[in-house]
Parts: sequence; structure tokens; C-alpha cells
Amino acid sequence: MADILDISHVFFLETIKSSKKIMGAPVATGQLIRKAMAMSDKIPEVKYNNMDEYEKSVKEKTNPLTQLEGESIRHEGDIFTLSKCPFAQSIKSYIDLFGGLPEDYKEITEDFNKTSTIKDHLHVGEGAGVSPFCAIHQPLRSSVASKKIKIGGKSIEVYQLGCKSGSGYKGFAEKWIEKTGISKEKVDELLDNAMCCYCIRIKE
Amino acid sequence: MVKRILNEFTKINGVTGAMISGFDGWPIESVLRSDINDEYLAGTAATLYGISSTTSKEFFGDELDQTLIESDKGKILIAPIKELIFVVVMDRTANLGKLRYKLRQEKERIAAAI
Repeated sequence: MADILDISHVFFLETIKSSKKIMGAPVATGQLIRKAMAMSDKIPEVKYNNMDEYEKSVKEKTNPLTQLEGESIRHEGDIFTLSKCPFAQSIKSYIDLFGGLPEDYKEITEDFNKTSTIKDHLHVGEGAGVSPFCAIHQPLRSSVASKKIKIGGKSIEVYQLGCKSGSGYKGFAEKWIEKTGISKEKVDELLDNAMCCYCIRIKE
Repeated sequence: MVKRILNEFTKINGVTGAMISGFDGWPIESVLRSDINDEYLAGTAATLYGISSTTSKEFFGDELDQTLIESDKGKILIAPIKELIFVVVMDRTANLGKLRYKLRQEKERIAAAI
């Protein structure tokens, strides 16, 4: 028997589309970012002694980020990749039903990639946005990491490095790649086998 | 400079606060009473600006000049300046005409300061 469509998946995507139509792309994008940040406030705080312990919690799926976005893979230099976009199922449901994503999504994605105070604070966007879902996922992850996770008693920061769309297009956050000193070639190579790429830095 | 301009607005009779925020709903600079949450106000102002701006384009085929929220207890005026939003919070005694006149006069200076 075929799976029943989860209407909330489709309805959510339609809500993003209508927000953009009603308020314009910059405001709609800002709303997605702010909602993601507000959501991060509800996540309980966790502490790890070191990065290895953090990685263990990812594998055991007790890590708050893993619970939100699925299991990530740790690479050299504390770079992490996701093999699957956490919005993949919603996107698939919508495309199966309507044949493609709304045209309005392009403007939201473009706006998410523009520089702004909040995106600078969260280290997201700047070219790493490949869909409006990045405007939710990346700020949510960065916000949870900086507010709720401590490693060795110190706060951490997430830097979004790149992202890949379902069509295979790779978006790179040149600004954050340069700031973290990671090579674009490395991010490109990792995205060959992943959909999302970011790194974690412990704040000194 | 921006803070100084905001302070000047708060000297107008009945004006209790002023703020500059981004279209993304994030506060940039503000002079507000301590009981007003600047992040909440910036988010609300961005949403109101977005809806008003789209409505203005749809109905009048023109860019939004200002949006006003009015109640018996106070008013909030929202005006886009460049790619930012200027927000003024007032109590019921505020002289709206004077405020609008000043805003029109100062728009260029605010834009330059940003």
C-alpha cells in the first residue's frame, strides 16, 4: 500500500509561498530566520567534555542537532556533513503533488544569501542557501549550537560552509569558508557525497 | 549619528521611542523604554511593513510611504528608508503631524546616517 501524503509537509511549503507573496521576500526570509531562532530556545541545554564526546552523542542520536537534522558525519578539522536534507521528505511530497517547487522560492533563497546583521551573527547564508529551507535549517542549527551546546565548558559556533540542492547545484559560503580557513576545494569534495556542510568552532 | 537622530525624535511631544531595524526584523539601533522588547518590535514592524508594502503596490501601484497603528493608548508609525525600517512609538498625546513633518524633513539625513 502506498504511503499516505502528510498534508502538513505540503501545507508548510504553501505557507512559505504565501508569506512571500503577502510580505515580500526580505520580510518572509527574516520571519523564517526568526522563527528558527525562537524554536532553538525550546531545546534543552547539553554539555560535552570534548569534541569526541560530542561526536559520540551524534552517533548515539542524543545530540540535539542530530535530533533535529539527522546523523552528521565528522571529518578532519571538525567539519560535519549531512547525507540527507532534513526537509527532503517535504520537498519530495510537494514535488510529487505539484510537479515542482513554487517560483517564489527563488527570491527567498536569493535574499537568504545576502549579507545582514543576523546572518553575520549566525554565520549562515552568504551563498550557502540553495532553497528557502536553508533559511530555516541553517539558523536553527547555528542558534541551537551557540545557545544550547557547550564543549569543555565553552560555547560553540557553527559556520555554514556549503549546501547542495536536490538538482545537484552546490552553494558555497565563501565568507565563512575564508573565515574558518577551510579550503573551498575541500568543501566541494565533501559535498560530492553530502547535502549540507558546516564546521564547529569552540569559542575561546 | 543614528542614535543621535533617534534621540531627536524622542524629544517630540508624545514620542516614547524610535528604532531602526532591517527588513529581516532584526533591530539595528533603538532608543526605547526598558519595558519594550526591541527584537519583538523589530519583528512586528518588519511583518507590518511587508504586508503594507505589498498592499500599497497592489492597490496603488506605488511604494509604501508609511504605515500607522493607532489605538486610544498610543500609535506606532512605520516608514521604510532605503532597505531599512524606521519605527516610532508614541503615546496618545503625540502630535502626528509634527512627527510626519520631521520624518519627511529628516529622511535624507537618516538615510545618509545609515
